[in-house]
Amino acid sequence: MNLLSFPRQAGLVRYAFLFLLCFTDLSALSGCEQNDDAVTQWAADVRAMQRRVGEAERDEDFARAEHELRLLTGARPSVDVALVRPVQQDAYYQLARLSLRQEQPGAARGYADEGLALGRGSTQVPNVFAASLLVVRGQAHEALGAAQEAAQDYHEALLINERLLDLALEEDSL
Amino acid sequence: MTDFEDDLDLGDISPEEREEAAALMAALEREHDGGLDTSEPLVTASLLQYARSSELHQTTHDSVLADILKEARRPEAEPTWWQGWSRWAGAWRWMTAVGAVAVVAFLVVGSGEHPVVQLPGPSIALLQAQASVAAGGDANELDAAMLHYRVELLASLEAGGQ
Repeated sequence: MNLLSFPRQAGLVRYAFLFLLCFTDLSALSGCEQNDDAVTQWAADVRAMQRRVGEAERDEDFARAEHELRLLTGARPSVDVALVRPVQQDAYYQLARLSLRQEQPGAARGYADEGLALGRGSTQVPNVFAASLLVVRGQAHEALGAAQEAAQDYHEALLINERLLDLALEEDSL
Repeated sequence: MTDFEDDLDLGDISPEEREEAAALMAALEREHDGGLDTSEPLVTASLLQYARSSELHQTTHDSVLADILKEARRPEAEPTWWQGWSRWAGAWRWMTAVGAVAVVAFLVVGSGEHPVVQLPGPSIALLQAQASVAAGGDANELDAAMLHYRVELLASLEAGGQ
């Protein structure tokens, strides 16, 4: 053993790096548990924020309600986007309805647009939140005097609604 | 007998060897145009000349030395304990990485058949409210139905995360 030729500093750095890589590899095995924890924590956060939204609306504190709802529209990288998106679209629906109650149809249309931009589903997987967002955007268009756009939104909402109804009835018949 | 044979002690060399050496020495002496023939007979002749006279033309000497060095192998040093350990560490890291990838792939493929969280489907009441508002009905009816669905959605998220 020739300790004089041992690359002491470079060797330590190199093998510390290798050790970290091993640790990283092993920690990947417990990723599912971390994801479950993240979903649980996020769901608790959503419930708490929705409770505060309800309290603000009862107090007619629309600014506080809007602030909480805007927080709900934010992304949560640690949680599967397929779970986060319905919550985000629901928050956009609430924001649009809140704006309509405050007689702000322009803002309502903007929130509905943002919610619909997250996805409208498909024929196979119709999106119930997209249908509600189209309905509320139709109301905003009506308030803005855009009857044709309102009719288009209502029509599209009814197409999604019909498909959802078909699927619900199929499930009931099974 | 040629001139170069005069300089050599050829007592133990057979006539065939002498002829071959003479031919090769002649080729060595030519070294025409400044170039050097590096064929094996020429090298042999050079070595014979060196053995007999302990002298070698410098260019030939360099050529022979270059050939020897080209063929020579550097002796492998005995690996130290640190180098041996490092090889095992590298192998361990690769085995760990491959194992982790296999487990993750298994979990991903397996989870495709069993979704972690199943979101609830909309109720008939919610769908009726949507259709009603789209036809000019009361929007508060849709708000109430959405609130009810929201409660179900949050319950399923909380249950799915545990």
